[in-house]
Amino acid sequence: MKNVNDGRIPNWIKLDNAATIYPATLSRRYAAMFRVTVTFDKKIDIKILEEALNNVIKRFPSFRYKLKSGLFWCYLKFNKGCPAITKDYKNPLLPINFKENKNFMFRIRVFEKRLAIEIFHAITDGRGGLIFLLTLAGEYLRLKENIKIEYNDVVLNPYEKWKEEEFTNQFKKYARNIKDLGKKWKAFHIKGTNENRNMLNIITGIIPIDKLKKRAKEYDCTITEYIVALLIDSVQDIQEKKVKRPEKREPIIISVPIDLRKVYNCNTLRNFASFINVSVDTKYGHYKLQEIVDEVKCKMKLMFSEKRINAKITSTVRLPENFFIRIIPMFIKKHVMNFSEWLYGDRGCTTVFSNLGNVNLPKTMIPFVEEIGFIIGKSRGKSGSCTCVGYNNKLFMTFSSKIKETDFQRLFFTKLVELGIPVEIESNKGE
Amino acid sequence: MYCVKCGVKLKKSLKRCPLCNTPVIMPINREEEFDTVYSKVVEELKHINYNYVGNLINLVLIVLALIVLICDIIITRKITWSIYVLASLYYFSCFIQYFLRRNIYLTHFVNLLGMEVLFFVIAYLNNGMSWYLFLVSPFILILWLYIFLFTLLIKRKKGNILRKFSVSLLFSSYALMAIESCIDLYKYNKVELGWSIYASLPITIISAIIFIISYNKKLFDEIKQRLFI
Repeated sequence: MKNVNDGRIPNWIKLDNAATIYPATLSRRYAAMFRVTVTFDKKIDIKILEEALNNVIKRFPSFRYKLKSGLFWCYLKFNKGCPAITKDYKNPLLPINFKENKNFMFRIRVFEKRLAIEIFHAITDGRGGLIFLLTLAGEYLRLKENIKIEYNDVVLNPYEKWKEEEFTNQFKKYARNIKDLGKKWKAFHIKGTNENRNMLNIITGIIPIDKLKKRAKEYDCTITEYIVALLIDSVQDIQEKKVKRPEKREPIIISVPIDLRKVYNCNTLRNFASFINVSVDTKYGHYKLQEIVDEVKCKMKLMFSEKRINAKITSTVRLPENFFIRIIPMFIKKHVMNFSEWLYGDRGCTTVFSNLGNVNLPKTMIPFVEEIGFIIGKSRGKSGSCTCVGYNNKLFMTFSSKIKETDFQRLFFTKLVELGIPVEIESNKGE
Repeated sequence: MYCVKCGVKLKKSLKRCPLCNTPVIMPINREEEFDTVYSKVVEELKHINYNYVGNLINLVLIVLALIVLICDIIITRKITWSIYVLASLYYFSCFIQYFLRRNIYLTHFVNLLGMEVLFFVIAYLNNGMSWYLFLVSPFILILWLYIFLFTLLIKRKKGNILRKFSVSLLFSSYALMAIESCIDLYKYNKVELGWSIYASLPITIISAIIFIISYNKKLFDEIKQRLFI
């Protein structure tokens, strides 16, 4: 690998193990994207934001790469410059056009008070995207409001030197020898009328964390477990309406991504996440909320062991290491990978519930930041995904969906209201 | 403000509840009062200009045809073999319309014409007008008529898939009989149906059975159970 610039940033790097699938599925109509947003208290000043971006991008060299196709694998090549800041649209997360974006794999969009970053999953995961956005927001506020920021694990100091650890493909470092991806059951999928192909329906519910925590405590579970149980309960109601005969009901499986940085105590800014599948087999009959919570708690505890997670990582790492897979040229491999992802990618999961956790901003930033949001883009097999991020005693729970029907979202939020938890809704749908 | 149906609080910019589509009743001018959370501009994916691509391919084919024509004239001093190439290029240009044009019926018609022209040129240059007019041309017409009807059936949104399949089978038996009639007329100047009857009869019976099964859901399920692989 040749070094450029200051002699330290690699000229090219291999994709990390979780990212190898994303370039294969990339097309004009589909790209695995996600979006992280931050809403300030005032309208954004674009000039200051541009200055902040110029300062911040140097701290995140892993974001400064473009996607290139080699003979056997895709790789990332260093990309000079800085992406332009563009206006935001009503329908976020359309597939990114690299050429229009100076070959960068992320784009920065602004609408009034909201700053958004939309990222192609090949460069980083949700946590990495959040850290980049909050560091940018911190630098912007420092320049605009002249505040002093106490940098922490989510708002990095843009003037310090990047760390080698942030660059490394951690999957390889921690993978051992025993592989296990687990058996994939066909999950129940929520179906409906497809929206216009450019449109992604977004409904965000703002929920007070203290009240949610109180309810979760009644069931002796964490907020994540409680939300997953409520999601399963909502899907169960839909399934019971659509599939009358219990023996024909497929299991409801919620895929919960887990941030491996916490498991292995590292700080990479590239993809480093795995997932656990939490399922309830509804063919045995109707599950009460308490029963669902019990199943979810048990399964999450069982799956969340380092050994099981490691077996999953090992499977991800070892498969592309197979000699026969490696020697197939990329232009053939791409189609095989794309087809198998299309066939099996979302087969084993009803929906995704991705929790970015509670964001602890530096105290000086809090008065200027109203909201933080996280959205996952369209997927090919599922109708939608759910995400949440907590900030300032508020949980921002977002449902992104490519279908017109909102029964699932309505059931989930009305369940919360019935439980005495107030929900405030914002959306790109009813404005 | 709250949604009266769902009980959730709604952001002030919302005019309808996104969960149940119930309109929000508020007697103030909301456009001026509150900022919207999302932009009102919708981003569109860039469309491929299929007409442009089609014209570009046609242009390339014309250039190719001219080169072939010039080569033929230079080498043989007259137009000989290049006619075959030109007719083939013309048919190729007709065929690629399937990937470029949206109107499938028009594309079928263009292809029918293209095929007729290609075979006409071959027949004309080889003194085979008799077999072209009485054998090949009706063959092509029957084939495309069948394709037209098949497309019409498949494109229909209503209707059971099994019924569509059975009707298309019936069409194919008629097409076989029409083809044999053409051959008989060309060879013996009279129609005496033989092999097409033997082929059409089982096809018609199968088609009738499928048609009946399509109306009997229970029987269809039973057959599906017994025959699953």
